[in-house]
Amino acid sequence: MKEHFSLQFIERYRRRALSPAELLDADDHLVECEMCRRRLGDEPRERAAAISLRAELSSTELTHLDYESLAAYVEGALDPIDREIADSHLKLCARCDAEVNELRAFAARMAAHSVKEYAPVAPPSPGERAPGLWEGFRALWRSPAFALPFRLASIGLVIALLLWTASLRSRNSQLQAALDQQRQESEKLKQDIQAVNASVAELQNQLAQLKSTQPSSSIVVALNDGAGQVTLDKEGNLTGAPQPFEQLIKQALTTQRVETPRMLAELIGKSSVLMGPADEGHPFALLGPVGTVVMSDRPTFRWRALAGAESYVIRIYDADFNEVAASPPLSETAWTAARSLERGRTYSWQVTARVGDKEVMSPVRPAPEAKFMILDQTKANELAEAKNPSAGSHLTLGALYAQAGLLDDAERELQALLRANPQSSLANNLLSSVRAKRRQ
Amino acid sequence: MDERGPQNDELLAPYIHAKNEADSERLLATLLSEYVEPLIRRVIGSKLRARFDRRGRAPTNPDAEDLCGETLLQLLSRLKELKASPVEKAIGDLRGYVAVVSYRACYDYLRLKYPQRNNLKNKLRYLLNHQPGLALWKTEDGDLVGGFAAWRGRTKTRPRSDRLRQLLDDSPAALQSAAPGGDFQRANPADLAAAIFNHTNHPIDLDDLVEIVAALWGVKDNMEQSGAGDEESDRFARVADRRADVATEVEQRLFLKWLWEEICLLPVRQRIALLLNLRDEQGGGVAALLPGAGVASLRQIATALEMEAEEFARLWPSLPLDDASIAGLIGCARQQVINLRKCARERLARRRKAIEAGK
Repeated sequence: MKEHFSLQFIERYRRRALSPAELLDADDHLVECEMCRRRLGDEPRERAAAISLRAELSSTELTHLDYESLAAYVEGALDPIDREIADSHLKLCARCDAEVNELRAFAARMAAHSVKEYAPVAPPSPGERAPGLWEGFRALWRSPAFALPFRLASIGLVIALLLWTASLRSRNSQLQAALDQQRQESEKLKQDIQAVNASVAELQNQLAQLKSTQPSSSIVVALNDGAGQVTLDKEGNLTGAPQPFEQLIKQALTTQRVETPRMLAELIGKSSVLMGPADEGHPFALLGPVGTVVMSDRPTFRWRALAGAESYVIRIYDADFNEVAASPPLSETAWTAARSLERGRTYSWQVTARVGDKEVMSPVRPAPEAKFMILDQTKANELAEAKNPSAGSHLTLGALYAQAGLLDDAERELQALLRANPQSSLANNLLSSVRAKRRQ
Repeated sequence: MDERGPQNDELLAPYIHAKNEADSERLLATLLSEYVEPLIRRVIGSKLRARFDRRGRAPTNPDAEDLCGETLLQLLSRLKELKASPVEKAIGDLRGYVAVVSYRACYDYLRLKYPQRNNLKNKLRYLLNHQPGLALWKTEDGDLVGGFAAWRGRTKTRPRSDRLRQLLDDSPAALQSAAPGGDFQRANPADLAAAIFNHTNHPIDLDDLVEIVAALWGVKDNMEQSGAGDEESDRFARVADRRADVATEVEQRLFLKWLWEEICLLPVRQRIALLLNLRDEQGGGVAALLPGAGVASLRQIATALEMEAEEFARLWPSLPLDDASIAGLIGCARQQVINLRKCARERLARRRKAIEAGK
C-alpha cells in the first residue's frame, strides 16, 4: 500500500473490519509512514492503557508455590508447562526456592533409609482385654456349692502361687534389665548405621552433582541408577549399563530422549489432553490407560470423580466399536477388567457417570477416544526376558518400556531415575520426552 | 468446550443481574455478610486458632482480624470484577472459592510468619504422602490429619487425648525409646512419625504433629526476623509504585515501549498467554494499540508470538482472546494459561519495581 490512509480506511482499521490481507498491507505502510501512524494512533486510549497496566503491575503480588506444586517439582512430576511456571517463579522468589531445596534434601534423607512398611503396633485398649475370666471366678467363689474346706485349700494354693510368682518376677526383672540394655545398644548401633548410610548417600549425591556440574576430562554423563552409576565418556564409552542394552542407553543419553513406537500417535489421537482437568469433551478426566500400550491383559482403568456422581459404568470397545467388556455400576473411580483382553489389539474405553437421573459420559466428541493397546505376546515375552539383566536399572527399564510404547511404566521408571538424580537436567529431559508424547 | 462458557454460582445471580447501582450494592453487602464473611472467619479462626466475637473482632489475635479484613477486601474486589465481566471472571462455586482464598491467605500468612515451621510442615506432608504404611488425609471438616495408612479415614480425637497432650507438653520424654540417647535429629523421620502415632494410638492433626516434631528437632522461628522478608519490602514498593502512577504522557509512551521489550524477553508460552489477553481497564485489547503507537508492527507481534503474520492477522479482530482460546493455541489447560500469564506479570512487576527503585 503506497497511498496514505483515508478516513474511511482508518475507521475500518479501528473497527477491525479489514481483511487479513488488507491489515498486513496497512501494517507494512504504517511501519514506513509516521503521518498515518499519528492519524491512526489513539493517544487517550494508549495513555489510559499505560496507566492501568502500570497500576496492575504495581499491584501484582507473587503467587507462591503451594505444597502440592513444591512436592511435584521435587519429584519431577510436573509437566513441562507447569515446570516452566514453577521455574519462572523460583527465579523470582528466594523463599520458595529455599523451600524446594529443603524439601529436596529431606527427600534425599528419606531415600537414604531402607524402605519398610509401617503399621500400628500399639497395645489393645483395656476394653479389648479377655473379658469374663475374673467375673467367672467370682461367681464360682460365691456359689453355695463351694464349700469351706475347698475355699481354704484354694487360698493356700493361691498363697503358694503368689510366692512362686514373686521369685519368678525378681528373676524376670533381672533378665528384662539385661534385655533392655541389649536393645538400647542395638538401637544405638542401628542409629549409627543409618547415620553412616545417610552420610554415604549424601556423599554419593555430592559426588554425582560434582560430576554433573564439573565433568572430568573424559566423563560427560554420570547418572545414579539403581545400585550403581551409568557413565558415558567423550569417546562414547558407556559403563554401568546392562550389556545387551548398551546401544539403546547410549542413544537415550546422547539424544536426551527415549524412543517410542510410531503407532503411539494413533493411540494418542489429536489434542489428547486427558490427564488435565475437565476439558472439552471431557466432563471428567480419564487418568489411564490413555494413549499408551499396557503390559497387563487385564488393565486397571482409573478416572477422576465427577461431583455428585452416584455410580460409574465403564465400557470397553474394540477397534470396530463393538463392546467387549463392561463393569457393573461402581462407586469407586477405578476398575480392573474382569476378563483378559486379547493381546496385540487396540481398544477404547468410556465411562458413564450417573448423576441423579442424568448420565454423563467421558470422553465424548470432539475429544479423541481414550485408546490403549494390550502389548502383544511376543513383545511381552521379550520384555519379561529383558527384565532380568536390567534389574534395578530405572534408565534401562524406562527406555525399554518407552520403546514398547508402555508410557505409564516408562514414566514411572524415569521418575525414579530423576528422584535418584534430582539435579540432573538429563534425567529431567528423559522424563519430559515421555510426557511430551502424550501431548503430541 | 462448553459454548455457554463458565457458569456462575446461583447465589451470585441476583447480584450479577441487578439493574441499578443501589440494588447491586445492597445485594453485594448481603452476599458478603451472609456467605463470605462467616466463611472467612471460620477458616481463618480454625487455622489461626482465633475466636471472633459477633462484631468480627478477635481481641486475642489481632493478626487474624487483620487477615480477615485483607481477605474480605480481596474478595470484594473479585466480586466487583465478576459484576463487570460475568463470563470472563465467572465463579462456579462461591463457597468453595471463598474457602480456597481464605485457606490460601492463612497459608501465606503462616508461611511468612513461621518459615521454619512451614518448611517442617512441608517435610512431614511429604513423609506421610511417600512413606509406605503412613498416610495423610482430609477429615470432613477439611483438616489434614496424619497416621498409619491402616487408619485412613478415621477422624482425630476431640478434645485432644491425654497421650497426645503428653506429647505436646514434653515429647522428648514421652518418646525416649524412639531415639536412644535422645538424638531425635538423626533418627529416621519415618521411625519417629511411627513412634508418635503408636504413642497416641490415633490419627493426629497435622499442625499438632508439626508442633511435636518441631520440639524434637528444635525447629524454631525467629520472631524478630520472620515476616520481614521480600514480601514485606514488596508491599512498601507497591505503595511507592502507586505514587509513581501520575506520570507524564511521554512516560506512558515509554512505558508501552518498555512493556513490549520486556514481553519479548519472556519465554514464548508466557508471551502468548500475556500478549493475546492483554487488556486495559475497559477490557479493550492492548496488543491492537501497539502498531498505531509505533511500538511494534503487527508482523513484529506475530514474530514474537512465533506465528505466521497471516495467522495473527486472522486473530486480530478477536483480540483480546479468552483463556480457553489461548489454551487451544498453546495446547494446554485453561488454568495453565492463567498461571503462565500470572508468571509473566510477576516477572514484569519485578523488573518494573527495579526500574522504579533505581529512579
